[in-house]
This record gives sequence, structure tokens and C-alpha cells, in this order.
Amino acid sequence: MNSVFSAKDIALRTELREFFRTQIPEDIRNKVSAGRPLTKKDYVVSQQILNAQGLAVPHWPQEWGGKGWSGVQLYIYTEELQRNSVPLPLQFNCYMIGPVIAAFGSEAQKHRFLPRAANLDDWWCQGFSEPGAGSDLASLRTSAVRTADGYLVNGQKAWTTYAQYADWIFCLVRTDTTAKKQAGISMVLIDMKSPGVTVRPVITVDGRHEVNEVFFDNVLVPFDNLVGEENRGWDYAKFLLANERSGIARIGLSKERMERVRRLAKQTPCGEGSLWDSEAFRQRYISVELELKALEHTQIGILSRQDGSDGKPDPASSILKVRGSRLQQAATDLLLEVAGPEGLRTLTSIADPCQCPETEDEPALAIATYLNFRKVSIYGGSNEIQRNIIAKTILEL
Amino acid sequence: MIAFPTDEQRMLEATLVSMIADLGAADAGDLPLETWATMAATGLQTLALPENIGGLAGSYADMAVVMRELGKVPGDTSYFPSAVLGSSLLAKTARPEQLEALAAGLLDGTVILAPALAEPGARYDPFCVATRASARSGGFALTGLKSLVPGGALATHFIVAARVAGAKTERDGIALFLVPASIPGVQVKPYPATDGSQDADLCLQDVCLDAAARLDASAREADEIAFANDLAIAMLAAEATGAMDAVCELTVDYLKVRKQFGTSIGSFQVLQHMAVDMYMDVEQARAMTDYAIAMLDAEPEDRTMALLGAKAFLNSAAQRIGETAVQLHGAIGMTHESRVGRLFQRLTRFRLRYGDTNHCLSILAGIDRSILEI
Repeated sequence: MNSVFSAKDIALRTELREFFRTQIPEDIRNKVSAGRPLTKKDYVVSQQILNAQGLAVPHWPQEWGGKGWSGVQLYIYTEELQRNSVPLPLQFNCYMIGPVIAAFGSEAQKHRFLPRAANLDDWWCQGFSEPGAGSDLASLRTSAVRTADGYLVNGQKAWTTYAQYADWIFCLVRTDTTAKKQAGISMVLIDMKSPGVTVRPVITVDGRHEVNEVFFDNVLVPFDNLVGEENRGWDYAKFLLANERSGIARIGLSKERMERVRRLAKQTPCGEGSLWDSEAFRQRYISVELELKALEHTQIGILSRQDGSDGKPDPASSILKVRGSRLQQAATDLLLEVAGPEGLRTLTSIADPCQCPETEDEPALAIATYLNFRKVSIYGGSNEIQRNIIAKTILEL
Repeated sequence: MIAFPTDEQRMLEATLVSMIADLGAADAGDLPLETWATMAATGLQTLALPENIGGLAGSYADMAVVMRELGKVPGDTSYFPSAVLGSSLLAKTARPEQLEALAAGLLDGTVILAPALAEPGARYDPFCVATRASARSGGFALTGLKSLVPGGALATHFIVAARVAGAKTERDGIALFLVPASIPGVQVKPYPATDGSQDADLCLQDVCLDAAARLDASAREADEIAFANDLAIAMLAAEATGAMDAVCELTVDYLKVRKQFGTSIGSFQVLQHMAVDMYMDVEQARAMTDYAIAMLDAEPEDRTMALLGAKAFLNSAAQRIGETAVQLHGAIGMTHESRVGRLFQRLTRFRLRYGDTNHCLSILAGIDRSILEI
């Protein structure tokens, strides 16, 4: 890998690695590595340490704390975070609403929200999907009606990750019911403490509580909380999703997980020796590694082309989403096989998953992680939607 | 460092594109046999030769540009065996006077090389050499069989691997000899190939050579053979990438023009998604090929591991891309006259050359190291 990076980039990598390994508490990194759920406090502690060094939002505009790094440098940063099992700065804050407010928000919104988002003083969640609007997001029906005091919001959002921790939600709402689908949508920022907001947990197949339903019942939202212009929300959402996709390959995460697979397979007794002694297992493992290698170089190629251009998201980044999610899933599948029959013991408590016993061992976590990771080919625009995007924008079919 | 195409490489690409068009092979038909002479007139066949004998002394990335463009068009040329593999091996192992003696012919294209390294039954082991070079009256006598010699049917000179010592599969004891195709005892047996490839088997019976015919690798022959193997993988990968590019483009175009059920078949989502999967494979194959080429300059251990990994990945990509292209074309894609069918042959040949998937994965599975680290 070193053969494709400059000396300056390699020095940055070393510096970041040192910082992450020495400054982020080990117990938090161990939880991430083992696939244990993190508490809200874990996320906050970790992100605030990063933010104190300007490492929570290096990709933001420089006046809001960005570092002005190249795409390749940002890639190295993300990969080092993931390889060292540092919790990623909260995606909703740092990769979704932050860049949108920085690009389209009012000055007041920037001052009010951006520093707190970077420092995770405010926890944001994403109000896009609805029961009737998944891949067909523009079918959303949550409405915002103008009144003298502000927008009156009514409706329901679905699959809202960590709404139970959130202080704020950025929502797509319908402000014009007469316009064509995409044209009548706006983006509003809603305080989760507003009267009329209800959060209901949804427990997923892994036994965990990550996602929620969020209900809005006559919630009053000040006009100041509109992002950009009314009825332009779809443009901001597209901007947000394109940013999200380029970070979605999670190559560093898959690399870290593959290292774990290798380490655990060597420790797992099987026949006379270990599971790693099985050539069939090793060959399947290597096939995933090779795909990861190819994806890494595809990603670096896309990034360096971007560094040399106007910085607009490359439609080829849909490749990263489709292939990257598949590899994340392949790695969790290998972990499941390393666990073998031991993986049948799922110890995660449904009532309060964060209270899972410290003794919970890695095989028991494997099945939860495997089940949980079905999400990565569904969220952020399902892999089938990504294929539609490539067919239309690149192949022009 | 990430390698961007240099201005020279862009020019090289443009030169090839117009040359292929002039040869009448841009849209249909094969590269004709005179392709080699046409290329030789421009000096492109000297990229692997040093400047002191008049070569262009290009980089591996330069050669890969040529291979990629040639890969887009069916038909075999001597470029890979002679200009890439043969010239590179010669430049690394020939003594100055040996190189000097061949220089004029190499520069005007009348000397055409073919590396004769592999042997029957060796599968992918480049060190499995049974051909013997026995000392005879101040020189050598070569006897043995060489198989699957690339470009063997058109070569004027072979670079033959033969044993001066050691047992059949030993790494040490192999020497390299420059053998003219026309001397007594050399029998060239081309075999018919539907894809137009010009490979041949070689039967050597008491071929008498001067001591000066031995190339001087200062006992590094095995290292040079290992390098040639890796170079072959990288350059055929570049050729395959060209074929993949062409196949993908042909298929997407076909989806737009072919009508069934009253509409272009490209409007069907199931076919769109197959085409997208193919496109993604092509993009990743390109990235992996660039990696393979960059790794030719790495330390031997890293280099060989990287090239084996790249080959295993590219074999699978070549298979998926070729099969999908034929499937999306329907029956027309299976015809010998269709370009997509001809390039499918090339992609299938690629999978079997210098390491099939089983070979690559078996070796990688025996190395306790991750390719993600190199």
C-alpha cells in the first residue's frame, strides 16, 4: 500500500495512528473492535478528544474547523480511524447535516449549530425515510404547514438511527402538496424536545436497539429552522447523500475486521490444528481480501481524480457503496464462520443492549454483527438504487 | 505515488488508436499480421530496450498503455512476446556485445523474440525445466521440449530456459540461451487457434550453440525468470483490461440499439443491473491492473505476492465480464465473427495464462501475510 502514497501522506498516517492509539481510551476502542454496542457517552468522549485536535471534522470548510486536506489525505484519516477502532465521528453530525448547513444554512444556523455538531454537544439524527418512503424517498408525506408562529409538522419518520440519543433531527418535510413529488420538499431542523415529538424503539434482528420510529404530532418549528430555501430540500438531500456515499465503502473497517478474522481463526481449534489450517477457509478469506484490495485502489483512483478536478462527487462513488457494503458483509460472514457453533449463543439483552455483560465473548457477538450488517446494503440508497444511478448517469441506459 | 497518465502516455494511446484505425481494425476485423511491421516503423517495439542501443527505454506503465490498446482489438501480434517479455528479458540478461549484435534487427523489427520458458506438464511452475543444455566442444547442445511459446510461430529468435545443472524442478541450475529459429535441430510447431494467436511448441534436438549464445545473468537466472513471470501477468492484465473496456462498451451500446418487445432491451432493469455489475468489475479490474504494474518495481517477495493476488482477482473479473457480455448479447455474442465473442476468447485465454485462479490462491494461502499490507 505504501507504494502509492507520498512521503508526506505516510507521515500523516503515522502521526494520526499514534494519536488515535494513545489518546482514544482503550476500552472504547476494544468495544468497537469486538462489535460491542457503545454507550452515548463513549461516542461523546471519543469525538470530543478528536475535536480538540481538529480531527472530528477535517473535511469541513476551513472556517468551520476543516483542515483543507486533499481527498487522499482524508482517506488516510478515515482509514486510520477505522483500523484503530476509533468510533467514527457521528455520521449524522459530521458527514450529513454539518456539510449541508455549511453549504446552504444561514449564518445564524452556522454559528448556532456547527461548533456544537463538531463537538457532539448536539446529537443529530436523520429524518428522511418514512413507512411509505424508503428507496422512493420523494414519496414522503410528513407535512409542514405554515402558521403565524412557524411550521406545524405532522407525520412519521422510520428507521431513525439513535433517535433515542438525539437532541436534534434534520427532516425532509412536504411544504407544497400541489407541486410534483421532489419539488415540494423542504429540509427543517427540529428540536427533539419540542412538544409533540415521540420516539418509539424498534428492535432489529440482532436484538439491539439502534433504530426508532419518530412521530410528529402538531410540532411547531420556528421559520429560522428552515435550511436554505423552502421547497429546495430535495437538492440538499441529494448533496447530503452524495457526500455520504463517498465515505460509505468503509475500507478501513473491513480491513480491521479481516485482521480479526485472521487472528481469531488462528486461535480457533479445528480438527488437529486451527481453523486457519483449513486451506478451504484460507482461500475464501483471501478472495475477500483481494476484493478489498481492488476496492481500495478503486477508491484511491476516484479520490485522486477528484483532487485533480472541481471536487464534485464522482458518480463512480456508487461503486464504492455497492462493492464496499458487500465486502463489509462478507467480512462479518467470515466472522460468523469463525464463531461456528459458539456463535449460536447470543447473549445480547434485548431490554438494554448496552448493558451486555463484559464477559460476552467474541463468538457470541459475531452473529449479532452479521445480522446487523445486512443494513449496509439497504441504507444510504439501497444497492439496487445505486445500480439504477450508475445505469442512468454513467452508462446512459 | 499514484500514477497518473503522463503526457507521453496520452500521446502513446492516441498513436495506437490511430494506428489500429489505419490498419482497418478499429470497429471490426482482427489486427493483421503487418501490425508488427507498422509498429516497428514507429519504434514502439523498443520500449523495453535501453537508450544506448537506440531503444526508447520506456517504463512498464508505458508498455501497459500499448498492451491495453492492443487488447481492445482481436488478433495476436508479436508485441507481448517480443517487445515486452523477450526484449525486457534480453535487456536484463544479455551482455553488451550480445545486445549490440541484435540491436539493428530489434530496432527495425526484423528480429522478433519469443521467450521459450514453459514446458509440457509444468502447469504454472516456471522452474520446472527438463530441457538440458549439455557442454559440447566449447559450447552447448540443447535437447528438450518447450511448450506454449507465446508468438512462437512468428519468432526469429527464442530465449530458451534450459538446465545446466540440477533436477527438473530446482530453482537453481537454469540457464538462458538465445536460439535462432532457423538453426538445425529447432523444430517450431505452431498450433491452430480460433482466436488467431500465434503460439507454438518447440522441439529442440541436439541444437548446437556457441558458448556466446548463453545469456549472462550472473547466476540470477531464476530471479529473472520469476520477474518475467510477474511481468507477463502485469502486461497481460493490461491487455485484458483493454479487452474488458471494449467488451463493456460494446455491450452497453448493444443494449441501446437492440430492440425486443417493442423497446430497446437496455430499458429493462434486470439487464441494466447486469451491465452495471459488469461496469463495476471493469473499473475495479483497471484499479487492480494499475496496482499490479506499480508493484513490478517492488521487492521480489512483495512483487510476486501482489501479482499473484492481482491475477486471481482479474481472472474472476475476466470471467464475469466475458460471460455477462455474451449473455447480454444473446446468441450473436457467441459467433466467431462478433467482436465481443472474439474478445471473450481473449479473456478466457487470459485466465489460463501465467496462473489460473486455483494456482494463485493455493500459493497465496501458503503465505502467512496479508496482501492488504503491500
